Amino acid sequence: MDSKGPRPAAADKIIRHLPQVSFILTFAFLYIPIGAIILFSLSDSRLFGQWGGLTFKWYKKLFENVLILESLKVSLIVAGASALLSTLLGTLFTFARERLSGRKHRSGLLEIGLIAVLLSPEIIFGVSLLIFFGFLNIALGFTALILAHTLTNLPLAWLIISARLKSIAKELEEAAMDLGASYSMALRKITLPLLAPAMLASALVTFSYSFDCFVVSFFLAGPGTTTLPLRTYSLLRGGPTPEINALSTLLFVLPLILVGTAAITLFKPQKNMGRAAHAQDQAAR
Amino acid sequence: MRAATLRHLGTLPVALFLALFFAAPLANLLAYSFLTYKGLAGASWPLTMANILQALQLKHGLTFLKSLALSGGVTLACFILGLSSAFHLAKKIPKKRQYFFLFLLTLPFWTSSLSRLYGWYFLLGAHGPINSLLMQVGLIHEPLPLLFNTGACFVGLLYNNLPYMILPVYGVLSRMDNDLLEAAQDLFAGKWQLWRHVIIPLAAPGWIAGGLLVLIASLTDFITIEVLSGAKHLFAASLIQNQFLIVRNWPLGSALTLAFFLMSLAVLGLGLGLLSKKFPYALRRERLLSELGEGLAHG
Repeated sequence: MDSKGPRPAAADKIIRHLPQVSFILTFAFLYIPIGAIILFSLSDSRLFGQWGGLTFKWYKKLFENVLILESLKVSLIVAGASALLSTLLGTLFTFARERLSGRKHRSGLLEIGLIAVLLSPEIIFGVSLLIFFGFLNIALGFTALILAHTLTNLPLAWLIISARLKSIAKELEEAAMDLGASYSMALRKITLPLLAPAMLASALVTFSYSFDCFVVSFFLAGPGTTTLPLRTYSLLRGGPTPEINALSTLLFVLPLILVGTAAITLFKPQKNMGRAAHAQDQAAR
Repeated sequence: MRAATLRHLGTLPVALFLALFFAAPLANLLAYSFLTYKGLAGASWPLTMANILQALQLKHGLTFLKSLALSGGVTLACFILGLSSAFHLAKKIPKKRQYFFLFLLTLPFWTSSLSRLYGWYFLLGAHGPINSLLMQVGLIHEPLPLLFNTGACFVGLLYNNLPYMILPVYGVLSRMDNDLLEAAQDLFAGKWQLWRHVIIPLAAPGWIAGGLLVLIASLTDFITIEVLSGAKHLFAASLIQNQFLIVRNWPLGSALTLAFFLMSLAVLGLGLGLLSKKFPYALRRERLLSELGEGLAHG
């Protein structure tokens, strides 16, 4: 037992209330900056000391800003291409591992590599790819960005798709083939439709992740390929303005919608996953 | 036979990608630290230790130490705030509402990180809401210097990393048996003793995993520091990016990156070594990895 005797009442009181106070403080802390931007993106005033009346004019101004629209295009292209590529590669990889690999083929080296990519700080990718592309004389720009984003998206795509593929029973394909289907027909008619929601979710999540990516783009963007986060960064160096508030609010809401949609498609109850798969599911619980 | 080729068809693209765009660039980075700087982002043959020596200079060492101190401070703050918040969430809030709060906790992380960073840049600025409001009410006559200093960086880093601490700790605490707390209280433990001898040690896998996540994330988060310190290159990560993008001395930049990460690894190893003396069971590899995995999976 502690030999210092009874603790002073004040210290005890602090400790007693600390968890609850921390809890409230944490959530307030998390949402104050977000709330502030949203609030002042709707205020008709360039000053931030008081409310200037409700207006959407800052949002309208955004859509008239040529630079922002251009960066939006760049971001859409890069995010779209890297989302598609990473989902495709992730699906092929997961398929090869889950369905075509016997016990002796599972060395796990590539999986470790993917986890390493997931856990590595972005600045490592930015820096190493910058000098690598320079060394190979690949110009910075769309190619570099898309390749880099595909790399950082890969672990996400792999995790999402393999989580779903693992729960689709292999027996379903075998059952289809017992009924006369060829392997490719079984894949096309049975497995792919069941996997489709996960592929969609993977595309949405990787799109959102790539769209928002700042660090890698910071190092690898070339002239004319400024992504939207990079444009926002150069804008905000001129000081905060209501336009940036509006832009930030949009950038805040867009990923939410994308990822929310992904979550809904993934967690919608699957009606025809097959009784075998259902039984497996129940047994696993 | 067809299965084998199909299998390779599937794994080869990913293997190529990882080898070509992850492993090779890292090896290249390592190699660049030993090449000679040739100007305009060039490097040429004579292998040299000059960059390494330059990277190990005192002024760089001081910057690294400052980064370490800042990240350490953020980790400590996350520990205090995060552990107590997670405890309240795990023990004092009804199970059904816990998921709601967990959702609220991770929600900001699915939105644009730059937007959230801008939120602080906006809030703390000289013309931001805090200063404007205070000046209007008359409490101050000049804007408070809330931005472009170490304090702002601290707040920004804390903001980004708090959930990384709360989630693993919550995971451990929610599975902790309440009987243990009751037993300690039956034995006349005061609140502080309860924390020091029961809660903190039992939650160790959670806060050690969370602490590692926070430490690494805050050491390598260069954009938060860049924006909130006004590009003054006060800390290591922005110093490194400065070498790459502005000075364009890639060999030196590579050497700095190497030095920085080796130093970080050394500190981490030291910290883990010290902790393993106090909490040997918590640092068993499987436990740590599973807590890390859960923390990441939620976030």
